[in-house]
Amino acid sequence: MLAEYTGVLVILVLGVVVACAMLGIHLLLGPRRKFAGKHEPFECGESQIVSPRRRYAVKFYMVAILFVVFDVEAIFFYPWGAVFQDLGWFGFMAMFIFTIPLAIGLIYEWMKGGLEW
Amino acid sequence: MLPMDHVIALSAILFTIGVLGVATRRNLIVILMSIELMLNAVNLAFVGFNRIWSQVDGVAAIDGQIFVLMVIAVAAAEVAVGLGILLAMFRNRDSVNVEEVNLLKW
Amino acid sequence: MIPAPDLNLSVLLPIILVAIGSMTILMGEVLLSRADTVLGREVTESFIGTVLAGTAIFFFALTLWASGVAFAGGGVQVFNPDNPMYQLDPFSSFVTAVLALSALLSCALSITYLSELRINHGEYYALIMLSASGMMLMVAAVDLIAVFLGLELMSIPIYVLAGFDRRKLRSNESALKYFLIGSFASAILLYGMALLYGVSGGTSFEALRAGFDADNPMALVGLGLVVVGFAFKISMVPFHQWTPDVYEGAPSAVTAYMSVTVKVAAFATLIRLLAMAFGPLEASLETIFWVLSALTIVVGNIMAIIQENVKRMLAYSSIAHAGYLMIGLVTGTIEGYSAMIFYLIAYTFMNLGAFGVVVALANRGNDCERIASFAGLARTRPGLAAVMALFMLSLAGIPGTAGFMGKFKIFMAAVNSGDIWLLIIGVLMSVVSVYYYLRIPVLMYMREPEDESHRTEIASGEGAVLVVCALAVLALGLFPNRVPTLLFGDLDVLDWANRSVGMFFGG
Repeated sequence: MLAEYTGVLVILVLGVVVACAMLGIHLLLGPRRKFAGKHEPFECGESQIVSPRRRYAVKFYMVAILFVVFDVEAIFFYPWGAVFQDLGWFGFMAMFIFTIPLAIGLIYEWMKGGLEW
Repeated sequence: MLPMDHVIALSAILFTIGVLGVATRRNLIVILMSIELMLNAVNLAFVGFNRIWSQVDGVAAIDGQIFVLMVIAVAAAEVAVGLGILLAMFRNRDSVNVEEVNLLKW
Repeated sequence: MIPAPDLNLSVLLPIILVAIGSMTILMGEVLLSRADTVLGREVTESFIGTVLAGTAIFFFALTLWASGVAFAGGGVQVFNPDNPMYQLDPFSSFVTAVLALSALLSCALSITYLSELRINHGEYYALIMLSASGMMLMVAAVDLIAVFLGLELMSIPIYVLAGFDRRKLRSNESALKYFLIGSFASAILLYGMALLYGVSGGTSFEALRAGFDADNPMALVGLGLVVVGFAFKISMVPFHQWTPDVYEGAPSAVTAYMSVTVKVAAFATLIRLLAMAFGPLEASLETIFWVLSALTIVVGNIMAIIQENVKRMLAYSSIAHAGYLMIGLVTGTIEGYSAMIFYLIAYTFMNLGAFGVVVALANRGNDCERIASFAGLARTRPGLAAVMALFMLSLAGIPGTAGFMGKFKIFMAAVNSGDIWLLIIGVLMSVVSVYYYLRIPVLMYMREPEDESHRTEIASGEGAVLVVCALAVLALGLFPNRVPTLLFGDLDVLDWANRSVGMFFGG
């Protein structure tokens, strides 16, 4: 009964083996030297000018929240798109009506300045 | 094909992990994620059951899959509102720890 | 080519009216707040608020009319006969009318309160209408998908409304708690629905009824989880802990709205679910309901005694009332269900009225919510004190009020189906409840005023709501089956309640 899971097992084993191998090879072959630069958050490249724990502007979250809603409402367009031709005018009108509330939501957040950066 | 018992068992396990997460974690974002995990367990159960009931009275049936679409859409709306509430609270208080939410007695 | 289904659009009229209303308000708010003058009047914040509240009231009145017409016409109409999801029948049209009426009253109650709290945003009314449309969808749903959509459409706007006073931490907390508990509960409810779907292979109530097998543990677990999901919404003990916190933290007008309408919608949906999808209750489930009902009555009433905050006290009292209402679910008879509907109407008026008095006392951004601050109110605000006393008497179930008639009907149903013990618990706890309800009239009439921080004049919207609620409480208490009105002749509320649930019993 468990034979169906062979593929999952192979992937799990492969994953573990690859991860261990990468770490192991690094341990075996890599030179080990300690100096101050090692403790920098970004060892190579720009030196850091502000704390990485600084807070992001709230606007990022605003945009993310607005995006989530509109992005996910698009989920209803996929099944419709798949049978678009079979549904004909009825499906088209139904979907058109569905977009009206979405459009009203968009107009609302636009006029309220939710999309200003 | 996988036996359906396994799919249902997996969804039950995921759901339990979600419930435990809501019950034990203290960070509001993590609690939100646990609730999402519960909803995704529900989705898995619906899709799994739909495989069993893919034919009802000889007609193809996709009730379970439709339900999943609805759950996904509603979950997004819920998360948006939840994050909005968190944001309003964070502006007033600067913390997302549930134990500091204590003005009103639990 | 898939043939277009034969849709019956007129069935959706009540819900479409509310949905269009909410979108109108949303757009109106945006446009009005950008205009300087409308028809020669300067656009101020309170002007916008009044106009939008008026719009909301107008659309709710239309909904009330539409559902009233549907109820008077009787008969069962389905939106899509091929795949029934939304069904307008005597039950759903009657409950829709009750919901529209209580939402209308809540809107009228909020106008002045919102400007007192300086949260006069038009979105408030849009959110109220959205959640009302969710409730109307839920009570008319005959498919689990529609039940779930309605439940979420009801809950999500209310999470926002609870946190509407967003600069106040208490309001934030209230919203957060309601959101966490609510979304947790809906996840549990959904898992129950998934299991029920797995058992029966369909999501419609008809398929559930055909496929439900009481010997299958998965079916029982599924039913249990669905009931637990609703138990959170109606704050049934032991799923009630959020109620006092959320009711206390939310703005009072929002508390008034959600304490009433959510309960009506959730109980109505439970009635339909149990009557249409699960037929006569399983004996085991009946026992569980019995125990939970007794627990809810006892815990709600005992905890209400020790509260010092009116809103918390009313929250525990609403838990206790949920317990009384559950007696109707335990009986599972037509008498029990119609008593529940009548009780819900009585509860709507008396609870809305009690919170309305709290709303009418709110002053300059502060709620007047300590019980002690009601002392001597009869001297400073005699009219308000009188109606508050009436609502308290009604909540306590003193004869002559709607609360008494509701309890009487529920207890009679319990006796006729042989639940003597539930009757005894209910009556004993009603006696206990008299103590904490009467504390407020005693304070108002027998003490000197000490706290003068409340508002000194009443707004016309609040006054109208309080008068309507007070008259309704008296009329339903004195003549439950022929409420005299000047315009429409005598109204027989008891008969309506009977007719609305009669359809589940082939009536």
